[in-house]
Amino acid sequence: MTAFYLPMIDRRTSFRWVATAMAATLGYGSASFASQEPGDARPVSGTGYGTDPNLVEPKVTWSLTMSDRQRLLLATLADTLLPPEPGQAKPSAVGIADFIDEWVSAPYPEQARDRALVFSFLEWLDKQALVLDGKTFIETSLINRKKVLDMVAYADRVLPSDSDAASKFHRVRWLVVSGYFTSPQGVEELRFIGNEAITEYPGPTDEAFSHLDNILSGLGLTRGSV
Amino acid sequence: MSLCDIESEQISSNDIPLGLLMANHDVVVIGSGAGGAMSAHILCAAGLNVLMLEAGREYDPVAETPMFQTPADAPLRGAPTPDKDKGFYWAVVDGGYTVTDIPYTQGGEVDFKWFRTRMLGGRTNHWGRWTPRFGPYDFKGKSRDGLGEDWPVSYEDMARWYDDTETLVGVYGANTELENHPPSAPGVLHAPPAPRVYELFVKAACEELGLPIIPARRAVLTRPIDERNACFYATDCMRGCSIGAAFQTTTSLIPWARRTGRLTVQTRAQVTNLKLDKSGRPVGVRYIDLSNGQEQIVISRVVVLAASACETARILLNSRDEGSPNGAANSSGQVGKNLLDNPQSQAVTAYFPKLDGRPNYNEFGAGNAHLYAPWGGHDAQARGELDFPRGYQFMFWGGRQTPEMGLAGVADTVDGYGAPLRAAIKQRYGSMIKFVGQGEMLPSSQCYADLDPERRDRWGMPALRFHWKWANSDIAMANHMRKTMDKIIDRLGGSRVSELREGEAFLTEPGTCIHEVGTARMGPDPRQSVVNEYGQAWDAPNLFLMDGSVFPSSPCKNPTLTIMALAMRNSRYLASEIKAGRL
Repeated sequence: MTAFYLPMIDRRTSFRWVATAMAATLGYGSASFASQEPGDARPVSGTGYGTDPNLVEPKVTWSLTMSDRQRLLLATLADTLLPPEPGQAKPSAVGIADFIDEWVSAPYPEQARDRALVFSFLEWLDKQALVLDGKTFIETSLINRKKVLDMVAYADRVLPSDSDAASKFHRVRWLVVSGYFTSPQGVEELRFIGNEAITEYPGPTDEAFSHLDNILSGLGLTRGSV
Repeated sequence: MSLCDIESEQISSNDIPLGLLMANHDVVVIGSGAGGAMSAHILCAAGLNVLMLEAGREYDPVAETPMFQTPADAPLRGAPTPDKDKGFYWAVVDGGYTVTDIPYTQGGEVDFKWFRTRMLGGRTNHWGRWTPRFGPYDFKGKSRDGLGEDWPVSYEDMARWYDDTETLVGVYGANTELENHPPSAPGVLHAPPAPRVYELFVKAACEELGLPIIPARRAVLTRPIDERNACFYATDCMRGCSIGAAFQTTTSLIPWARRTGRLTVQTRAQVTNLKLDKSGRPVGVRYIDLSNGQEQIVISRVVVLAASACETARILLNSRDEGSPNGAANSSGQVGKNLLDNPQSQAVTAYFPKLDGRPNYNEFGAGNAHLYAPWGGHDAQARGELDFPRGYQFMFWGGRQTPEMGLAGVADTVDGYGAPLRAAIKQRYGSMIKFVGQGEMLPSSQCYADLDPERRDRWGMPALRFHWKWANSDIAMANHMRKTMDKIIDRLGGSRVSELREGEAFLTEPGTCIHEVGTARMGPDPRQSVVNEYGQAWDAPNLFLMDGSVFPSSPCKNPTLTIMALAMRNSRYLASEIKAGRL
């Protein structure tokens, strides 16, 4: 296998978990890597950031724990969930697996629940892919990946036998969507305007008002005045 | 009598302090939040020397506020954790619903949640800055409907203090003609920011349903005053505000009082109790210096207690002495009783497809609501159409705000995967609106706090124990809130993202509105109240309460402006009493 997931480390995050992230890359391409299973994560270690962390220069105080294979599998999944249009970023290119690794490695209860859920879902993905053509989710074709996701991704099509996996998928999708669209590239893609000082708040544009008036009119309502 | 003339024998002989501080101050102020800092500011401006005791650490908003940091900069993208209940970036230090060394317990049917922080400025560093005025009905509820208690002051008594407080603090908003929502004096209010599309969308439905929607009043500057800057419409007020636009005492009242040279601030001073003389008057304050664990007692002829309603009650109840077996200022037995919060609804998030893909513009605004829905149901109540006696306000937030985990509910609404998923998220970003109702409850014998007979804090002081039971009228009001939200959502073609709970479960845990008040109420009768209209203890004229503990009722309006207005008024009274030699 030549595919690998390259951790995305920018200057803000590099100081906080670079050591563990780089260590995680060492196994890529090695013979032992290919035999790793999704559950091969390291134990959660480290402490929470405490009740009085430095808010101006935040630090993650725990180590990343996912195995190389889990990270690659997550990246593959995320890129299938949110494939980019031209000019847009792939989730794997904005560090989605790094973020979810940070999330499931955190020493907090909600994240511990998600850890078990995410790992279980990754195992399920591979099992379903193997049934299709004897290859893992990473190795199989895009067509087969979609066949696997089709089993759980659409709420009104899920078979009762797949309901547990679908429930897990719902949370994994929530994490991937949240992780991507809170990244700088995702925020830009949403066209969020803010976090820059301005002297006066301009309010809606004429175009925005016109659109509002149209939808209110369609509802039989009017904007009125303030 | 000079301060140092207080005789040591006034302190019980079995309470010889490890450290007895006889500093040069006229008043000890306990607490640095809305009430304590306002009191210190007024007293220092009047020429008095003040020692402020704050349990938390020193806090510098200029250096410590993460103004422009993004969720991506924070661990877990800023999501809440047990270390930071409200999210990573909130200006909360060593606090939240748990303060490790100071536990609290439960003794009632429903658990009460007590939100605290341990930092100079207290909860003013992260409050929502909502500052509606209480109106004439709010001060005289019992006179109107025979329920609860009247305040010993009227709106007319308080109007000028509201004007002075709003002028000092800086409040944006607009005067309206609404019943029981009195106007500010001309020129007091800062101009409110322009309403946004999603707010006007909700307003259109509300007006058809007969619900008033008006500009919110918030303690945020939209023009610069003194050394503070106007809002620059870019950052979340709950993180604190390094430019001083969103009011907090650490960028205003405390620095101003310090500049007089008459304020001494002792941080990390965990007050445990007041030291009383034989008549029940405080002669000193006992605290633990958290920097070294040493017990200290500071002598003072006047004590202002403004530790927040529940901590104030705990300190009073723990100030037991031979002459005051029920605690300080508690001959009425009312300390800890009449605990109130604003019953708050579950947050209801709805998705409005009509807002999908609308034209983009800067929708961030002033870091919180520009419009809201105050209570306007007085006529319906007068006609007997409602099965609850008082009212509620509801707020709503939405639109294209800073993308955070879950994307304000968008991530819960989507289905499928692939290119359609990616497109749907971008279409729906800005189509979510969250509604929350906050109502008025009546004082109840079922809702109070006392001392736990067994559980103690790290320093051996009894923990506070909460008792709570919702009244039928609270649940009836919750049902009405829910129906109102349903009508608005349905009228606008929305679908609920949240699963709406029923009845009592529609209310969040008591305390979670973080508007707790009422534990040492003011009143005209020493047998039924703890303090008089000036916050002066009936049992101890040199003890003043300057926080929300003195509220006889909790109208469906955020309490902080009234806490500050009362503290301003009552501190002026206190200063005049000291200067006249009566204290």
